[in-house]
Amino acid sequence: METPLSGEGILGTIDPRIKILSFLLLAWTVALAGNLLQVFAFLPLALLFYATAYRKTATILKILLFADFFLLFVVLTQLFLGSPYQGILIFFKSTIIVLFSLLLLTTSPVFELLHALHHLKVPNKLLQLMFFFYRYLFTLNEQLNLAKKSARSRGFVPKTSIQTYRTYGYLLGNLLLKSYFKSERVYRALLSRGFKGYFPVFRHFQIERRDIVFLLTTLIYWGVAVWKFYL
Amino acid sequence: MEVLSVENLKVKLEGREVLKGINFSIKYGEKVFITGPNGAGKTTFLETVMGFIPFTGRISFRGKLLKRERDFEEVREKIGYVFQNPDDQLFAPTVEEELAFAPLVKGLKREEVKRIVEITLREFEIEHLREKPTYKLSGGEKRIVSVACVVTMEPEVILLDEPTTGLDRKRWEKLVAFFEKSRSSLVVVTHDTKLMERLGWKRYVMEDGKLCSA
Repeated sequence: METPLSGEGILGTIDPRIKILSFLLLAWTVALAGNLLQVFAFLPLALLFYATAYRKTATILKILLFADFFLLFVVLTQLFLGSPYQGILIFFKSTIIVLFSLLLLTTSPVFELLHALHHLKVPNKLLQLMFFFYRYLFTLNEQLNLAKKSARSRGFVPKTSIQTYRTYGYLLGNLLLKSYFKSERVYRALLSRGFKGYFPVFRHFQIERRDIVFLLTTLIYWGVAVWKFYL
Repeated sequence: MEVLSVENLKVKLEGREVLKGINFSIKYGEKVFITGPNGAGKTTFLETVMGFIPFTGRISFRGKLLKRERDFEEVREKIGYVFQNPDDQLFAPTVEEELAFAPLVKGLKREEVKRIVEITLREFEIEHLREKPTYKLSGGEKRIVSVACVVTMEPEVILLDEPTTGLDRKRWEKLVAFFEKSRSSLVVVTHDTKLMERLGWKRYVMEDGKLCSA
């Protein structure tokens, strides 16, 4: 189950537990920044991470632009409220945090991230919900596309008409019912293979030298940045 | 000696009697086919035996009567069920995790699980699918993986609902070889006449909720 930058560059090979912890530390520190200098203190690190995934520049820019589009509204609001500096500060803080999340979190597949969260003591039930939600999102999308294809193959062309709204109503209603029945069958599949409320994993993480090097580099950078610009 | 037996099994769904007093039993290592027209109750029969549908009558496994959900929970590790639609059956993120699921739930040691998974991947010639997400498999691949992930449970009885649908010649032969080699008792619901002729096992016919020997 891939994420946009799944397995990309060196970051894709780092233990997800280390990446999650590093992300939390960096995002928390950037979020606490009181001025632009403190925010930009972390830009070189973000750029260093980006350099390892430069081949996916287009994907990264696309996601950043999408996120920044919403942030522009925050800047505009602050502009009207008379504090443009706050708006710009929020904009850059959020952009760097999004960049960190992209480069640290989405370079691991979703299942590995959930597995890592399990090791970081996130409640099991919540993780199972997240896993099944993500796992079946694709199946539902596939079902919806199939239903749309079926409608089109029988001459359906979307227009601004009652017939179109009715057809979309049928498609969504059908999807809802199918999801319900599917969930029942998946539950039976789980039961028939001895499911007892937890999801065991076959492959486990092992901390390697590169994970330690990555963690130490991040920690040293963080320490120096905090000492120089925050204290 | 009988491993699984069913007496006077009746199921009513939405006011309609779907199974009308079925008597059936299977011995250790015995292999049988159940065939019959669509909507006759074949899948309902398998799902009832798995304890998924409320019923009246008696279902026993190794002589133990199964009544409550807890009874079924205990025996589900010993009865494997291959669903009619493999999409419903495969839920793990990759083929390898799918195969490892049941042995891990059983509490087997990691080395033992690894051994079982490797043997099964080799047996069904699906080593190349090991890392592949299950939702990205082709129809035939999903079908063979859905059988393989039940085999890793090492069950005493395997119920298979139309397991050969959508398989190419090579995978069909692979599955037939597995059927011939398997030491588990097998109940195969199928319309595949070639399969039935090739293996020549005892046949039952399900018609309008009633099961009889062919």
